[in-house]
Amino acid sequence: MKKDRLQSILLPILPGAVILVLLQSGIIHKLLKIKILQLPKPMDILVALTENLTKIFSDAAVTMFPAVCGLILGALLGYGVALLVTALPNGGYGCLFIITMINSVPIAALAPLMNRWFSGVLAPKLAVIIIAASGAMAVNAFRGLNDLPQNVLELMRVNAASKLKVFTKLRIPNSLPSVFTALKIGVPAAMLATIIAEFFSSETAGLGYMIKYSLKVGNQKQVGWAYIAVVSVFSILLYEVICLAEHLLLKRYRGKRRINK
Amino acid sequence: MTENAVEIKNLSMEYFDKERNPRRVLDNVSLNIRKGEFISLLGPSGCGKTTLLRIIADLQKPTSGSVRLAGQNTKEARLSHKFGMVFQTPALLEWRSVLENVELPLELRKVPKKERRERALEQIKTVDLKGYENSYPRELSGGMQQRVGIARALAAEPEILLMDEPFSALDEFTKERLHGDLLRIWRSTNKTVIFVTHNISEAVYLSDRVCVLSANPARLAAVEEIHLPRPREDAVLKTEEYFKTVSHIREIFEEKYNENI
Repeated sequence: MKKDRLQSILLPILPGAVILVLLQSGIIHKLLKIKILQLPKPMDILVALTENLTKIFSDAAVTMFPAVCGLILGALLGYGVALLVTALPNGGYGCLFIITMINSVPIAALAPLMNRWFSGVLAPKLAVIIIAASGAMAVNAFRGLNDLPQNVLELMRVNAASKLKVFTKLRIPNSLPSVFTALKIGVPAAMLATIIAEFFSSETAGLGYMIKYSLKVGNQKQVGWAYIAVVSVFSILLYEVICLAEHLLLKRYRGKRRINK
Repeated sequence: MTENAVEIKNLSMEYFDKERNPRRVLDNVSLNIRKGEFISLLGPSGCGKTTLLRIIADLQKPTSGSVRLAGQNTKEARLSHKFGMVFQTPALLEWRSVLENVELPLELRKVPKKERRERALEQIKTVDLKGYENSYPRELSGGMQQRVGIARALAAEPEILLMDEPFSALDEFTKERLHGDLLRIWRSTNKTVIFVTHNISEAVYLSDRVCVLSANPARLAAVEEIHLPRPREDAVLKTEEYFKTVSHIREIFEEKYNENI
């Protein structure tokens, strides 16, 4: 057991470390004929990161606040649509269709559009993130709310359960694992949407804006890369928070042990 | 004069298959089921025995004819919780513990929490699952899961217990054990049991009467009184009378199928 655990930690870390060393030593640059300007060395990126730490954190706040809010609002919207579609299948399917259709519009096309629809800097950003995060939730939650064995639905009917009770006792608890699946899909979608929205935003702060800006300026390339690293770290952190919440909240849905009697 | 628990009059059920030809699943079935009786609906797959049970449970509507349960139609009986149902597969909610699964029908009947818990614990004891109250369905074997299903149906204390091939997925030893449990529960609670099965010996061992259903056309071919002594113990299974009864019913099937094929 202990050995397995050690392995599961070392296996992903080792190749990462090897790549970092190869980058730092310049071997990869030589092999692939990349200039330092195109891909700064890891240590230079780290230095840029530490030198600009306060600025980077204030930019991270500018980005992560709408990213998290948008993810939550998008999830709520998506779940609401899934509930509506399940409760009113006749009229509701249109809703699901519309939300998946909007979801399939490329974010890069949506972002400038939302800038025209909404004023200010926060609202257009939120709109893009909500659209990006709601699609996966609507589809997954709809599945969770409806993917039920026939006999369980019949059990509710035999026990004269009202439509509301079928939701509260059966459909909603059944949908919780799907909700977390959707949130996990939603994290990268929301992060991507936030960064792209910032590319098109009139705002002069935020991780997305700073990536775009720093990579353009000659002597700021390593700062741009520091921002890219920070975006990745925050994205992973957000994902991990959701995994942790799932671990804590869905204990009832796990485990495979069987007793024979 | 014994009261009838269920009165089935001229019941027919027809549906249209893929080629739009009408198919009769039940043809003019009439049957009175006495209060406190253990009655089996026996027949091969596709003979409409499950359809008959589902019509009684108000899960399907007949094409013509009527079913009355103690003077009520099937919908009224369902809404006033006249019957409980045990399904072919256990139909348990995976996120609920054994105790919470058994409590479900009581929750739907708005039984106060304390009473709910007491009644559920009592039924868990009845089906011999004491000590597993806090286990989850996935941790239990198939036989144990089916017993949870039975406890759940009993918890609401319905007058009539509808059982749809509840033991058909279980191995022979588990099945025999559950037969014993079921007879014991039936004897002590005085319920009317309607038991659907395709197993002749199971029907004979458990029942007061066996209704033999024939397919194509789907008719009530015979209703056989079973005169084996009560309370029935395993020893009955080795008696000549038991063998004779099983053979007799087997002959009815042979006659029916020679006639019709």
